[in-house]
Amino acid sequence: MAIKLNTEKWLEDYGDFLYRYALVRVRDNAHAEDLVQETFVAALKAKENYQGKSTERTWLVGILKHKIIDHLRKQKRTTALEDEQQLVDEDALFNENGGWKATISPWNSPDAALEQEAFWKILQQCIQALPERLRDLYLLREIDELDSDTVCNILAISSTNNMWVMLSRTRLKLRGCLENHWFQGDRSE
Amino acid sequence: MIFKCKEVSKLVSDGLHTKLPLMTRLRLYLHLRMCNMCSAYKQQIEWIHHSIKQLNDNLTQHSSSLPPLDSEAKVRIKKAIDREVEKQNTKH
Repeated sequence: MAIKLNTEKWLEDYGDFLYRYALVRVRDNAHAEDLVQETFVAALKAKENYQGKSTERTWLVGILKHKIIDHLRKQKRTTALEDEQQLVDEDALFNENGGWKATISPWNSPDAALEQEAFWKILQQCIQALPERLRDLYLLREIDELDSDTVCNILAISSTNNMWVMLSRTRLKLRGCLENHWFQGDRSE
Repeated sequence: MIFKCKEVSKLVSDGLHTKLPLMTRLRLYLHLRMCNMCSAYKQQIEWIHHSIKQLNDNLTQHSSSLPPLDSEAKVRIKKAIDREVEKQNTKH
Protein backbone atom coordinates (compact mmCIF):
# COMPACT_ATOMS: atom_id res chain seq x y z
CA MET A 1 0.00 0.00 0.00
CA ALA A 2 1.26 3.45 -0.84
CA ILE A 3 2.15 5.73 2.04
CA LYS A 4 0.24 8.99 2.25
CA LEU A 5 2.39 11.89 1.16
CA ASN A 6 1.91 15.42 2.30
CA THR A 7 1.95 16.88 -1.21
CA GLU A 8 0.26 20.10 -0.11
CA LYS A 9 3.34 21.08 1.83
CA TRP A 10 6.00 19.95 -0.63
CA LEU A 11 6.73 23.35 -2.10
CA GLU A 12 6.92 24.98 1.30
CA ASP A 13 9.02 22.26 2.91
CA TYR A 14 11.40 21.24 0.12
CA GLY A 15 11.12 23.90 -2.59
CA ASP A 16 14.13 25.96 -1.53
CA PHE A 17 16.31 22.97 -0.81
CA LEU A 18 15.60 21.35 -4.19
CA TYR A 19 16.08 24.67 -5.95
CA ARG A 20 19.50 25.24 -4.37
CA TYR A 21 20.47 21.66 -5.03
CA ALA A 22 19.66 22.16 -8.71
CA LEU A 23 21.22 25.61 -8.83
CA VAL A 24 24.62 24.32 -7.74
CA ARG A 25 24.52 21.87 -10.61
CA VAL A 26 23.00 23.79 -13.51
CA ARG A 27 24.11 27.35 -12.72
CA ASP A 28 20.98 28.88 -14.24
CA ASN A 29 18.03 30.18 -12.19
CA ALA A 30 15.31 29.50 -14.77
CA HIS A 31 16.63 26.05 -15.52
CA ALA A 32 16.89 25.18 -11.83
CA GLU A 33 13.30 26.33 -11.35
CA ASP A 34 12.15 24.13 -14.25
CA LEU A 35 13.90 21.14 -12.73
CA VAL A 36 12.20 21.69 -9.37
CA GLN A 37 8.81 21.98 -11.07
CA GLU A 38 9.43 18.83 -13.15
CA THR A 39 10.50 17.01 -9.99
CA PHE A 40 7.28 17.84 -8.14
CA VAL A 41 5.10 16.91 -11.13
CA ALA A 42 6.99 13.64 -11.66
CA ALA A 43 6.70 12.89 -7.94
CA LEU A 44 2.94 13.47 -8.02
CA LYS A 45 2.61 11.11 -10.96
CA ALA A 46 4.66 8.46 -9.14
CA LYS A 47 3.37 9.02 -5.63
CA GLU A 48 1.76 5.58 -5.51
CA ASN A 49 5.26 4.12 -5.72
CA TYR A 50 6.51 5.83 -2.59
CA GLN A 51 7.14 3.07 -0.08
CA GLY A 52 8.17 5.18 2.87
CA LYS A 53 11.57 3.51 2.88
CA SER A 54 13.30 6.87 2.71
CA THR A 55 12.21 10.29 3.88
CA GLU A 56 10.09 12.41 1.56
CA ARG A 57 13.04 14.70 1.05
CA THR A 58 15.42 11.90 0.07
CA TRP A 59 12.80 10.53 -2.30
CA LEU A 60 12.30 13.91 -3.97
CA VAL A 61 16.05 14.53 -4.20
CA GLY A 62 16.38 11.13 -5.88
CA ILE A 63 13.93 12.22 -8.57
CA LEU A 64 15.69 15.54 -9.03
CA LYS A 65 19.06 13.81 -9.25
CA HIS A 66 17.79 11.68 -12.14
CA LYS A 67 16.59 14.78 -13.94
CA ILE A 68 19.95 16.48 -13.48
CA ILE A 69 21.80 13.40 -14.72
CA ASP A 70 19.53 13.27 -17.79
CA HIS A 71 20.37 16.88 -18.44
CA LEU A 72 24.12 16.26 -18.08
CA ARG A 73 23.93 13.27 -20.42
CA LYS A 74 22.15 15.28 -23.09
CA GLN A 75 24.66 18.09 -23.02
CA LYS A 76 26.85 18.08 -26.06
CA ARG A 77 30.19 16.73 -24.96
CA THR A 78 32.53 17.82 -27.66
CA THR A 79 35.49 18.25 -25.34
CA ALA A 80 38.26 16.02 -26.63
CA LEU A 81 40.76 14.21 -24.46
CA GLU A 82 43.36 16.90 -25.01
CA ASP A 83 40.98 19.60 -23.90
CA GLU A 84 40.15 17.68 -20.76
CA GLN A 85 43.81 17.63 -19.88
CA GLN A 86 44.39 21.29 -20.46
CA LEU A 87 41.50 22.50 -18.36
CA VAL A 88 43.78 23.58 -15.56
CA ASP A 89 47.05 25.10 -16.56
CA GLU A 90 49.53 23.21 -14.44
CA ASP A 91 52.39 25.37 -15.62
CA ALA A 92 50.90 28.15 -13.57
CA LEU A 93 51.25 26.04 -10.41
CA PHE A 94 54.49 24.11 -10.88
CA ASN A 95 57.95 25.15 -12.05
CA GLU A 96 59.92 23.33 -14.75
CA ASN A 97 61.31 20.90 -12.15
CA GLY A 98 57.85 19.90 -11.03
CA GLY A 99 58.05 21.86 -7.75
CA TRP A 100 55.41 24.20 -6.35
CA LYS A 101 55.71 27.74 -7.67
CA ALA A 102 53.87 29.38 -4.80
CA THR A 103 54.34 28.44 -1.17
CA ILE A 104 51.80 26.02 0.27
CA SER A 105 51.33 26.79 3.97
CA PRO A 106 49.13 24.87 6.40
CA TRP A 107 45.64 26.23 7.06
CA ASN A 108 44.83 27.46 10.56
CA SER A 109 42.06 25.44 12.24
CA PRO A 110 40.08 24.93 9.02
CA ASP A 111 37.17 23.26 10.86
CA ALA A 112 36.24 26.64 12.32
CA ALA A 113 35.47 27.79 8.76
CA LEU A 114 32.70 25.20 8.45
CA GLU A 115 30.72 27.06 11.13
CA GLN A 116 30.81 30.27 9.14
CA GLU A 117 28.20 31.11 6.55
CA ALA A 118 30.69 33.29 4.68
CA PHE A 119 32.97 30.31 4.16
CA TRP A 120 30.21 28.29 2.48
CA LYS A 121 29.53 31.21 0.20
CA ILE A 122 33.18 31.25 -0.86
CA LEU A 123 33.15 27.49 -1.33
CA GLN A 124 30.06 27.78 -3.55
CA GLN A 125 31.73 30.48 -5.60
CA CYS A 126 34.90 28.41 -5.95
CA ILE A 127 32.86 25.44 -7.18
CA GLN A 128 30.98 27.65 -9.64
CA ALA A 129 34.27 29.08 -10.89
CA LEU A 130 35.51 25.64 -11.96
CA PRO A 131 35.46 24.82 -15.67
CA GLU A 132 32.03 23.31 -16.37
CA ARG A 133 33.19 19.79 -17.03
CA LEU A 134 35.38 19.64 -13.94
CA ARG A 135 32.57 21.05 -11.83
CA ASP A 136 30.07 18.46 -13.10
CA LEU A 137 32.56 15.68 -12.45
CA TYR A 138 33.46 16.95 -9.01
CA LEU A 139 29.86 17.26 -7.84
CA LEU A 140 28.82 13.85 -9.15
CA ARG A 141 31.83 12.10 -7.67
CA GLU A 142 32.41 13.98 -4.42
CA ILE A 143 28.95 15.04 -3.31
CA ASP A 144 26.58 12.65 -5.04
CA GLU A 145 29.19 9.91 -4.54
CA LEU A 146 28.45 8.09 -7.78
CA ASP A 147 31.01 5.45 -8.76
CA SER A 148 33.69 6.13 -11.37
CA ASP A 149 32.17 4.12 -14.21
CA THR A 150 28.80 5.80 -13.85
CA VAL A 151 30.35 9.25 -13.75
CA CYS A 152 32.51 8.59 -16.82
CA ASN A 153 29.44 7.30 -18.61
CA ILE A 154 27.28 10.31 -17.76
CA LEU A 155 29.93 12.86 -18.67
CA ALA A 156 31.40 10.91 -21.60
CA ILE A 157 34.88 10.89 -20.07
CA SER A 158 37.06 8.59 -22.13
CA SER A 159 38.70 6.60 -19.33
CA THR A 160 38.90 6.23 -15.57
CA ASN A 161 42.55 7.30 -15.71
CA ASN A 162 41.52 10.45 -17.39
CA MET A 163 38.93 11.00 -14.67
CA TRP A 164 41.64 10.74 -11.99
CA VAL A 165 43.66 13.38 -13.85
CA MET A 166 40.65 15.67 -14.04
CA LEU A 167 39.84 15.18 -10.36
CA SER A 168 43.39 15.99 -9.34
CA ARG A 169 43.31 19.18 -11.39
CA THR A 170 39.98 20.12 -9.89
CA ARG A 171 41.47 19.75 -6.41
CA LEU A 172 44.44 21.93 -7.33
CA LYS A 173 42.06 24.59 -8.55
CA LEU A 174 39.62 24.35 -5.67
CA ARG A 175 42.37 24.41 -3.06
CA GLY A 176 43.92 27.43 -4.75
CA CYS A 177 40.61 29.26 -4.80
CA LEU A 178 39.95 28.58 -1.10
CA GLU A 179 43.51 29.63 -0.29
CA ASN A 180 43.16 32.93 -2.17
CA HIS A 181 39.67 33.83 -1.03
CA TRP A 182 39.56 32.50 2.49
CA PHE A 183 42.59 31.01 4.20
CA GLN A 184 45.13 33.57 3.06
CA GLY A 185 43.09 36.35 4.63
CA ASP A 186 42.55 34.18 7.68
CA ARG A 187 46.27 33.87 8.13
CA SER A 188 47.12 37.55 7.88
CA GLU A 189 44.50 38.60 10.43
CA MET B 1 63.60 7.72 -7.48
CA ILE B 2 61.94 10.52 -5.58
CA PHE B 3 58.64 11.92 -6.86
CA LYS B 4 58.26 15.52 -7.92
CA CYS B 5 55.68 17.72 -6.17
CA LYS B 6 53.61 17.78 -9.35
CA GLU B 7 53.41 13.98 -9.33
CA VAL B 8 52.67 13.97 -5.62
CA SER B 9 49.71 16.30 -6.08
CA LYS B 10 48.17 13.73 -8.43
CA LEU B 11 49.00 10.73 -6.24
CA VAL B 12 47.54 12.17 -3.04
CA SER B 13 44.41 12.97 -5.02
CA ASP B 14 44.22 9.40 -6.39
CA GLY B 15 44.81 8.14 -2.85
CA LEU B 16 41.45 9.58 -1.81
CA HIS B 17 39.67 7.10 -4.06
CA THR B 18 41.92 4.11 -4.37
CA LYS B 19 44.66 2.24 -2.55
CA LEU B 20 47.99 3.03 -4.21
CA PRO B 21 50.51 0.25 -4.93
CA LEU B 22 52.93 -0.48 -2.08
CA MET B 23 56.02 0.93 -3.81
CA THR B 24 54.19 4.09 -4.74
CA ARG B 25 53.05 4.52 -1.15
CA LEU B 26 56.62 4.11 0.10
CA ARG B 27 58.00 6.65 -2.33
CA LEU B 28 55.16 8.99 -1.51
CA TYR B 29 55.86 8.60 2.20
CA LEU B 30 59.51 9.49 1.67
CA HIS B 31 58.57 12.59 -0.29
CA LEU B 32 56.02 13.73 2.27
CA ARG B 33 58.51 13.26 5.12
CA MET B 34 60.82 15.74 3.42
CA CYS B 35 58.36 18.13 1.84
CA ASN B 36 56.26 20.39 4.06
CA MET B 37 54.40 21.92 1.14
CA CYS B 38 53.15 18.60 -0.22
CA SER B 39 52.23 17.51 3.31
CA ALA B 40 50.19 20.69 3.71
CA TYR B 41 48.62 20.13 0.28
CA LYS B 42 47.69 16.55 1.19
CA GLN B 43 46.05 17.67 4.44
CA GLN B 44 44.14 20.41 2.67
CA ILE B 45 42.66 18.30 -0.10
CA GLU B 46 41.76 15.60 2.43
CA TRP B 47 40.03 18.24 4.52
CA ILE B 48 38.11 19.53 1.47
CA HIS B 49 37.22 15.94 0.50
CA HIS B 50 35.57 15.37 3.90
CA SER B 51 34.08 18.82 4.39
CA ILE B 52 32.41 19.03 1.00
CA LYS B 53 30.00 16.28 2.07
CA GLN B 54 28.30 18.85 4.29
CA LEU B 55 27.36 20.97 1.31
CA ASN B 56 23.91 19.41 1.00
CA ASP B 57 23.17 20.11 4.66
CA ASN B 58 24.21 23.68 4.13
CA LEU B 59 21.66 23.93 1.31
CA THR B 60 18.77 23.32 3.70
CA GLN B 61 19.64 26.14 6.03
CA HIS B 62 17.70 29.36 5.87
CA SER B 63 20.85 31.41 5.69
CA SER B 64 22.19 29.21 2.92
CA SER B 65 24.89 30.52 0.64
CA LEU B 66 22.47 30.22 -2.28
CA PRO B 67 19.21 32.13 -2.81
CA PRO B 68 15.80 30.51 -2.13
CA LEU B 69 13.06 30.32 -4.77
CA ASP B 70 11.62 33.78 -5.29
CA SER B 71 7.89 34.31 -4.76
CA GLU B 72 7.04 34.47 -8.46
CA ALA B 73 8.78 31.18 -9.11
CA LYS B 74 6.86 29.68 -6.21
CA VAL B 75 3.57 30.80 -7.77
CA ARG B 76 4.54 29.23 -11.09
CA ILE B 77 5.52 25.94 -9.46
CA LYS B 78 2.38 25.96 -7.31
CA LYS B 79 0.29 26.28 -10.49
CA ALA B 80 2.04 23.33 -12.11
CA ILE B 81 1.47 21.23 -8.98
CA ASP B 82 -2.20 22.24 -8.85
CA ARG B 83 -2.65 21.39 -12.54
CA GLU B 84 -1.25 17.91 -11.95
CA VAL B 85 -3.41 17.36 -8.86
CA GLU B 86 -6.46 18.54 -10.83
CA LYS B 87 -5.62 16.14 -13.66
CA GLN B 88 -5.35 13.24 -11.24
CA ASN B 89 -8.62 14.13 -9.52
CA THR B 90 -10.59 14.22 -12.78
CA LYS B 91 -9.15 10.83 -13.72
CA HIS B 92 -10.50 9.16 -10.58
